[in-house]
Amino acid sequence: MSVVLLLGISWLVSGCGGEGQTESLKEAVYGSPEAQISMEKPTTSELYSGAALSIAPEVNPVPNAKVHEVRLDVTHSEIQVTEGVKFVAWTFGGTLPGPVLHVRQGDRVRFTMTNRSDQTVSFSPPTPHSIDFHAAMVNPADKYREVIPGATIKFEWVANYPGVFMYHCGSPAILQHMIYGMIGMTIVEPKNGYPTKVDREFALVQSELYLTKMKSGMYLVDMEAAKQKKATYVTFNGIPKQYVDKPLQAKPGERVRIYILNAGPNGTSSFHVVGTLFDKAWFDGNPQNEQRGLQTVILGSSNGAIVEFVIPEAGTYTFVDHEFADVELGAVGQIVAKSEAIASK
Amino acid sequence: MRKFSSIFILMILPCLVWGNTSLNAPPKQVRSFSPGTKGTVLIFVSSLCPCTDAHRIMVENLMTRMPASGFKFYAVFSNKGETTELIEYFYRTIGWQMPYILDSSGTLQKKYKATHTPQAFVISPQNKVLYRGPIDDSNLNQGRVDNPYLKNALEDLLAGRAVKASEVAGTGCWIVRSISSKELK
Repeated sequence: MSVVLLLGISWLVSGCGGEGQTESLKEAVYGSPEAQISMEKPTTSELYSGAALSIAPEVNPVPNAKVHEVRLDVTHSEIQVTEGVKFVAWTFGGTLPGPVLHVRQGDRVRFTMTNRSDQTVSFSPPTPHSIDFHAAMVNPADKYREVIPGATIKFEWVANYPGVFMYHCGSPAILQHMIYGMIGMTIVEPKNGYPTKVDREFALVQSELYLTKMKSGMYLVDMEAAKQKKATYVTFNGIPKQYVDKPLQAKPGERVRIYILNAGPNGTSSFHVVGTLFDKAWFDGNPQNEQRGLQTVILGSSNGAIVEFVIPEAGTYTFVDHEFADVELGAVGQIVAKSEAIASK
Repeated sequence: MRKFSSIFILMILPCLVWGNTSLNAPPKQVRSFSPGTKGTVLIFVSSLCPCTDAHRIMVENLMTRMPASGFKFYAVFSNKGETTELIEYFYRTIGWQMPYILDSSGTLQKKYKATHTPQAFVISPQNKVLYRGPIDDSNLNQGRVDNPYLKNALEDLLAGRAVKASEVAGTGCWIVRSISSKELK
């Protein structure tokens, strides 16, 4: 009886991540050189660079390197949300959401960011910005400090934990910077890869937009609506219903992995794919946080997950935030599964 | 009872009407500022800069207390691209009641060398700059005010003292005019 009890306790401890956690922490790297801020100008007009970056829903494989040079510049630019709806967004790398950063556990990220908001003064006042990587363990007062327009920050961090993490601007008012579009996803692959093989991968960032239409026809970011959590749109990868108009593609029988991040900033996401079940769901994208046979994963603001499922047969598989008010605001897309070959990108 | 209700409604009606009119009325635009007996507070702001939001309560509190003491408050919009519609939207969201100056030509911005939004200036009745800098440092401390710069300056002046910190480096958005980067650092 007592042996069974001991075994049970031992299983519980290891099952709760005791052993794995210790192993992770043993290899964790804490501390990194002080961030450097200068008035150094970027030598390229590219707003982002680095083999570890891709634009969602695409996910580039992790480059075969232990150190990743990554540049994500901040820019103010006009983004078309839907027909007739444009607004001046603030973005990392010129895209909404910012590019997906994909590295492996234990890798070092050498990060550079220039605040280029001084280059778009004709339509948007230059504004201080910063970046907060949830995947990093660093001193926020140093690495996440504000960068004035025209300045460049450089710092390093090591990806200690596997997962699907958020990055965002941390300048006050943070809510305002986030609803302007300063959000993105970091994927940290486990050191020895995932325990499963998949045929297809997609990255989806769910986020809300809060806009108000002026008499002139232009749209402005609506801070009051954001404070009251009254979203104008809820999107996957920045545009409402874009994957209904241009569905993602897969083939029957394929195993699909979706990296899903709820960037919020205010709402939760009840992510669900109609017509299949999540064979595996790893909360916050860490395989140690495994759940099986789920219909829905619920993600608070900034939570991520990896969900894997099989496309059971040819058909159209609609993915939604199952909080259906959000579907009406745009949080819906489709995966079309056909047997014929899928056109390459 | 009905009579009592009617009297009560008649009594509170002016308050309701005044309240709604006051809250919904468009902000008052003026061409220039008229100095207060103790001085004038100019706050350079931008309808598209989010940095002012962190200071809304501080300014509201000062506006409640200070006019009676002889200070007048004005908002100044010097950025290119400011329109009446944008300014009215800004006022609706920020909830301030002070009159504003649309400084399209940048005259006030150049005169006082305003560089950021929000940036406050306290001007004496003799047109001397007594304080130049941020409203407070709440934007640097997640909303906690460690240094209420503008409030301190006004209290120094009300106490008949020279302003202790009369110039503090600007933070926030840039005013988009021909400002050299040297001035902004």
